[in-house]
Amino acid sequence: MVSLTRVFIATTEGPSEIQRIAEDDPEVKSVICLNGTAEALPVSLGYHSFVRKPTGVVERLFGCPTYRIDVSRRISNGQSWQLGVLLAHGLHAQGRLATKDGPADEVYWVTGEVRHNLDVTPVDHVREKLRQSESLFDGLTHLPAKVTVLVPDGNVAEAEAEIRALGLDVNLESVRCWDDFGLSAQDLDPPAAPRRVWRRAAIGALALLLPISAAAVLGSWWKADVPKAIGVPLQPPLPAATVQPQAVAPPSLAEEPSKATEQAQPPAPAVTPPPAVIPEPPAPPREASAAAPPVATAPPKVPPAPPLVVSAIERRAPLGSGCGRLRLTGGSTVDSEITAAMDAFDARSAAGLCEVEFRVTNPSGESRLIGIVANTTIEGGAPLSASDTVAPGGSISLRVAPKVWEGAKSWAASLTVTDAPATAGASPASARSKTMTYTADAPVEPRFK
Amino acid sequence: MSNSWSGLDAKQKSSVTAAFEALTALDTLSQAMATEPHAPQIAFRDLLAWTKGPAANLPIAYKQALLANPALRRDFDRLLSRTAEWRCERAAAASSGLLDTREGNGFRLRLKPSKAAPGQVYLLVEFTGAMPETPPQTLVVNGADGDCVRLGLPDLHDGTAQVLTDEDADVVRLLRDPKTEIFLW
Repeated sequence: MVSLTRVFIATTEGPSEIQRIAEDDPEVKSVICLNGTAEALPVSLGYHSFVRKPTGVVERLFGCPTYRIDVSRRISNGQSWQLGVLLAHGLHAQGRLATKDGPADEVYWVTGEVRHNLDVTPVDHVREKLRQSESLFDGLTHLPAKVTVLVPDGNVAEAEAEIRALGLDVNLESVRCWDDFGLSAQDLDPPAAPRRVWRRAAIGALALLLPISAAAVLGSWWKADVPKAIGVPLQPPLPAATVQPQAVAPPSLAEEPSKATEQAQPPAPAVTPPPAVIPEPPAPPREASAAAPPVATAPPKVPPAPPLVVSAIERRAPLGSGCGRLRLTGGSTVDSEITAAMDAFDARSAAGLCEVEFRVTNPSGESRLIGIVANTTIEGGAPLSASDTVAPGGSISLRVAPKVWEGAKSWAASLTVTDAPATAGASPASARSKTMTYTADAPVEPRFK
Repeated sequence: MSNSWSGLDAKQKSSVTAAFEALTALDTLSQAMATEPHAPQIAFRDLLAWTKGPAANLPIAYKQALLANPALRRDFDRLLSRTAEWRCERAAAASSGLLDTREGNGFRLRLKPSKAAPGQVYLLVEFTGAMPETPPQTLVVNGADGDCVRLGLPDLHDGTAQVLTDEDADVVRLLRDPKTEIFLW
């Protein structure tokens, strides 16, 4: 079984999942569309230029002049989508890109710009992008899949600091040139030797201080597990003049050797990595077909869907203010997020509580149909409900707001959360339901004590 | 008999709320039906505003007005002709069936089904002559029966503007109809 990788493009509005890549008619321009609809995003023209020769790199690496990509969230502008898109193309060429609603063994969160010479250059707003993806990372912690943040070399320090600040449990990797990945079409054949990548497997100050040469000696800095992760053994940097043997190039590329082909891996004896450091790379498939011999991965297992993550984001008026005043003046609330323990949230104080947003996150690797119903004891409050198909790592929310003018009154909400696989033909028996309570207690005034 | 709201339990409150919602919806529908006979008259200035407003299909009331008022229809056709910088006449009489290509003065319009997404189609506006100094931003397809759609065009790239749309979109249906006229400005 081929291991599959899901790719998220980091944006300042939140992560955008690459749902699928498909080749299209060479007469049309490449497009990036939203959720399988006919809505081509404004970034499409930039993507077309990124694909098509001579300006683009995707056609040069993978052979097809026109692609269509579907993403889960709008990507407005900028170029920082390029690294993630290129990674997705590399995985797609090998049949390893996890598609919408499909399973994934690994998740990549990516930002970075790719130059015409395949150098990966730093981008802005990495911290903000990480913050906007916090709920995704939280949800993904419940997955058995490995989660990796991939940034350009020049963004490692800020990414590392933000990951630490947010307390994220993810791997951090950096890259300075696309060639480090070995995910071009010609790399469908087994390379001769592992390739070194500038990886920060452990997040710590040491990782930034030690020179790369020391990393080679220490060994743990080598990306020994990436062959399993991406499916292609990694190789050391290669001489630019080395030519890939034609016999292993795919037919479409053999007719027109590209720059990338010319930079491809040398014969096996050319590079000898430290034997004690680099494990023997597993043999990747020769072609991207499902029939190709798989990488040495564990036999597929279908774990039961992890439990949904239910949290409550409390929005309170700052000290000395009130919810009514905030509504009139448009001031900001002080937000805090709590998660449910077992079947209930810990009792909360109703003082200054303007709104509670109940959020249910899908931590599984597949889209799920999630419904949430809230019955509250708030006077005049009708039952609230919401339901939607939620992508992996996505969430659905419901907001409950007590009346702002009546001061702090005790109230409670009973939440019923149901979910089931969003795939067609899923067994009704796979649906689940859970009920939990949230209680906001009014502070007792001294005279009633 | 009267009950206070606070005297109701949660189930009763839920039922009352649902009943109110249903009544509100009924009121809204009733009001819409009641106002239909008094639809406003469509004048030439309304059509002019439509050509300059956000891209959208011609509202049904406008279509009805064009069908009912031949003079207004003539004015509207003349308005489109004078506003447009590029035009594609109705297809020749020999044309039969549905078209996938329309040839205009200085441009060609092609419909190309998407291979990547069945059910979607690329609309390609290609300039065959000199590149326009000011690229068109609006495409209008005008049918003989009052059907008329207006579409915003993206920037030209290599002399082509590309729009992806659904196969069953009004603009696709009208472009395939040889009896329609196409205007660009």
